Amino acid sequence: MQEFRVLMGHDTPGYASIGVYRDHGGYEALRKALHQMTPTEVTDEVYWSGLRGRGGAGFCTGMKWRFIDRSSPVPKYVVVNADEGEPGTFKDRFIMEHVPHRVIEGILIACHAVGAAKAYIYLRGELALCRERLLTAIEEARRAGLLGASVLGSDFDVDIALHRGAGAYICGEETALLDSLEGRRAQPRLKPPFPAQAGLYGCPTVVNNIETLANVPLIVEHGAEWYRSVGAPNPAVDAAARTGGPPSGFGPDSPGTRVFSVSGKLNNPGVFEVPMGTPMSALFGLAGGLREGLELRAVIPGGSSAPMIGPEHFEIPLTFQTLADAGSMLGSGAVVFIDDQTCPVDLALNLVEFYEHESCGKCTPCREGGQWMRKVIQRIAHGQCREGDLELVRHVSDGIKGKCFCALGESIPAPVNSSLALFPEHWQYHIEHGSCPIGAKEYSHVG
Amino acid sequence: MSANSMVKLTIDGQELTVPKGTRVMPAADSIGIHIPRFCYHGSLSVLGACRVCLVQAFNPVIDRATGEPVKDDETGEPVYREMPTLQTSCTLECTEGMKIVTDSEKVLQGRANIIEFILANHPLNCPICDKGGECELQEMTMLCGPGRQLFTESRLNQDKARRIGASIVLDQERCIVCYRCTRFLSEWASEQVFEFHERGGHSVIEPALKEPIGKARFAGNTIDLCPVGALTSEYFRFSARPWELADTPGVCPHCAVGCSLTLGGRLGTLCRVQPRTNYYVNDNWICDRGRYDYAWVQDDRLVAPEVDGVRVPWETAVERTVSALADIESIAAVVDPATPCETGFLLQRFMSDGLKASSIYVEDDFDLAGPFPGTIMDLMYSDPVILVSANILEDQPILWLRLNRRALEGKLSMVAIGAPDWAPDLKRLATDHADLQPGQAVAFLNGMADLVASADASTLTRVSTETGIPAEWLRGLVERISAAKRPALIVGALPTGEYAPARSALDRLTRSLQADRKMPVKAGILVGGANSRGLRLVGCSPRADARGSGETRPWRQALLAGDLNALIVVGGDPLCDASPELVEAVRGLSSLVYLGTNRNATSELATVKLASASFAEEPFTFVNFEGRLQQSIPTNEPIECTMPGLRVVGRLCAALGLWHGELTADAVRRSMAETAETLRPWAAPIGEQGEMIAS
Repeated sequence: MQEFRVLMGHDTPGYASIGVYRDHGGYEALRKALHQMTPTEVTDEVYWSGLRGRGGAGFCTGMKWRFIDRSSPVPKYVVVNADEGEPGTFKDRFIMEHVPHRVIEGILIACHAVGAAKAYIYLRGELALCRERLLTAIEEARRAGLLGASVLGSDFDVDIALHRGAGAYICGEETALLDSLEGRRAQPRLKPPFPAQAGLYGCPTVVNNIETLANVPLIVEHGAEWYRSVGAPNPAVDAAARTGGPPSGFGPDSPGTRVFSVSGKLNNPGVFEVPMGTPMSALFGLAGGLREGLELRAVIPGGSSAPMIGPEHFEIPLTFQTLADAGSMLGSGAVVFIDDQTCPVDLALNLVEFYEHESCGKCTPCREGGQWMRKVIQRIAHGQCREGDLELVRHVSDGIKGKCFCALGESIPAPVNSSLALFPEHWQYHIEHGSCPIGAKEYSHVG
Repeated sequence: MSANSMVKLTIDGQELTVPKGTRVMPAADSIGIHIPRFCYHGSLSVLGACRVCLVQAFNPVIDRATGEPVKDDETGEPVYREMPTLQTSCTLECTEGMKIVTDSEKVLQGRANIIEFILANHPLNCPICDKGGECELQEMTMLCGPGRQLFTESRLNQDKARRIGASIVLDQERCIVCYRCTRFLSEWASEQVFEFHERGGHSVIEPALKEPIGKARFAGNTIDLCPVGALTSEYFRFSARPWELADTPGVCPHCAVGCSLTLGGRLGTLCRVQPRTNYYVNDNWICDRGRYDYAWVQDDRLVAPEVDGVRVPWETAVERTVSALADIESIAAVVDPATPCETGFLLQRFMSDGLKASSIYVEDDFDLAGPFPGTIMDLMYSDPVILVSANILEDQPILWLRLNRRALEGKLSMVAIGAPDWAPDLKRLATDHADLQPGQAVAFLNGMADLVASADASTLTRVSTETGIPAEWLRGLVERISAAKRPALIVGALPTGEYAPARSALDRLTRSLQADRKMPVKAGILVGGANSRGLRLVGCSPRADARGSGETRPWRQALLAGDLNALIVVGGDPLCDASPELVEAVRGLSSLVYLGTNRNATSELATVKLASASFAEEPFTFVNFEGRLQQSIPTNEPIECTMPGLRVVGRLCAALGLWHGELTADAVRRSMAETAETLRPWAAPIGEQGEMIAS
């Protein structure tokens, strides 16, 4: 069922060390990129593979690289977004811990493609083991001549620096991440200019997610067509011909595999890599289904920012397009299965509390609306409801929606609205009885 | 501007054309459509944080294949597509064919939502808030708020009424997190006074430094910028409601920049001084000195004329002044450089036509230095701007502020050159700086003139040895200047004997810099007070052979040598640090007439004290260092028995038959215009931004 590409070798002992990684063909893609391909060819290969960003937005990676003006006289940067903080998401952590060298190799190829001599990994501060593994990997790569001056005897000089975040979810937003990296208060920047035009220190910058970059060595080594051989690619995109047709990596094009973080009250929750387009039910099966006595009520298919969808979507193939059509999103690939013993009000409160706590405070609707929303839902969850509270929740939600500076604020209404839509009777019961029909006493923490 | 750098759009049905890159908010402003705003401020960077300026935006649908707008099959009208969400007009760039709607139901609902959010944690105790009556949140709530409050949860409690240094009071609960204050401080002032701490709903401004902000030069502007009552002025707080103030346009008397002010007076008290927008001079700002240094308008005033320490009616005072001076030879007038043009004009008439052998000295070095040959705009659009012993950060703060803004934008570099212990803050904030051996300013100017002509090694070595500046640094500076389109150079105050050689060195340097440059190179000495230039225009100058600066000013010499019989002091306090010998010489005069506002060392020595109105109480004109004529309109009546300076001197003139008719500012200005061609501008209306009358 699982198709290990990004996670290839994760179960091989010692794969996190450079020796084992190289024994299994590691860093050959880098060698190929440096000696047999021009930077433009690398970028084209990635573009035609249809690789899309794995951080949440799903933007075409090759297109992002193409935006970089290689002829610009100022330095170019590759910034790696390893600030994985979306509730329910833990796949980048798994990748960094188990296949760190694939990540490093991907970063080096990206630097070569966009003409960057410096890459920064912005790592979520709490991920101590990832830090250790990455630092070791960087050091090993440096000793092996894969990092530093004249990589593998080419004229390519590159260095990677690892920066630990200090614990703010907003730093996962790429422009806030750049501000934080520059030593400022992390708040999202106005776009345009996009990072590709003026990113880190005002220079052209590519910001990519860990999983995205871990795909890159495979694409370079095996080619775009190989990459598109699994998953749910748009058949109208002809990677072999490389001309005409719809753009690669957009709309219905979801090629390759995806590393999913699967959680909930499951028998076997964890990280699974499956081809794009795998039905959600299959992922449910891999995760061993819900624990005994529990029934599936809803699914958060793409991290906490993605609206919940009902069990009628149980068979939905997991692609960017299908989930968008279902009114949600594939997002960060965090699938949270919600059971019938989880109070939807508590769940909404849990997520709203998170967003309220993590709001950067820049824009009004997120800063004030998040707080207001939390206070009202908290009352509802704790049996202090007032008449009209549901209307109030909808009012606040409408006030926030479509008015925030960045996606963080826009995520506040998502779990609330979908919970209200899927479980109206449950909310109504809270309002009318001041208690929960399930009788769940503790918060049902996600993830 | 060429056609393709302009875009055409419609806002609420009104069509307009704006330069590409213009954002919707200023475009709407330009046609008189006011979109509500909190974080937006025309002089600050665009932020897009408050979200209150939401509008609906529609873009024409473009056919990808042809690049042409899609037209409706039936009507032939272009087809529009609405952007998926409401857009913030402060961040949205105008594009060709765009349609903006600022007043639809959807927009009004969105705005009301935002205001409701802002009000959620904002205290609703406007009656006890100092900002009440001029609070932007209050106005916006009335204008486009939801009209009712659904928020009934508990509010956040934060610090109230915290003193930040001596002048600013911070109420954290009232802050609506618009970042205007922090943006001003970082984008203009390079002063880290506040910063935001915490995040989300707990975001709060805090003093950035542990040390008090007493040293801040521009932080007072954050009080005006604050749209709510979070930052208020310690001096103004609760002294008046804004609607009780008689706001009038004024001009700052503190330095040669002459910032445009709004004077807020009430019942004879000057309650506050604020900047008045003037993009040619001070943008939207004033320095803290200009803002807070007005206590003297109320305290320790001369409130009525006095003769020999006894209050007398004005008739007696005028009579005594005229009779004391009329038949005396060798009289000198010492004039403060912040004396208005009208007073100076009449004084000059009184002295030259009414008294025997008299001369006028203005207490500045302007006669030696000459006028500065450029405007603030000229300097802003120069690069690099070289400051030679010119501490504009202290002496002309707003000039520095405007140049610093350009420097922070990377459009200008400021290079500060002066003695090692001189102006550490200016040097720290400048783009580049060098330590000059004390007393070597002229050598530096001459050296630069030589180096611009030829930067060979021997010249470099010589200039480096003379000035103490490393040869490499000098070479870099010369290269930078030579490559520059429009360099500028400002020299500050110098010792008396150095002005003449400095001017000839500057002439030489300007000539060689000008060479084949199209734009005129601005290089000169910048000295003097608020009206130094105006006083010269109206004729207040000593003879050419009687010029000096500081302690060597000739009136002091003449006084000590016993060559003066009487002295008229107009404004200021020139005897405040006088030596015992000088005080003795003053006591030996037949009379000392003091025309001024306050009691001070000079007024205490005066035999006749003529109590004049303050700058907030009299109409007057100043000419700033650029040659910009500006007028000030009083916010208060002269207190007690004081009179505007022009009326006092006018009555002295009238007593000698040198003035007939009414004594108003207008009458004096008409008389000025009739007297000399150069004074004609005084008879014409003076615009809000002033009039350039000399260059």
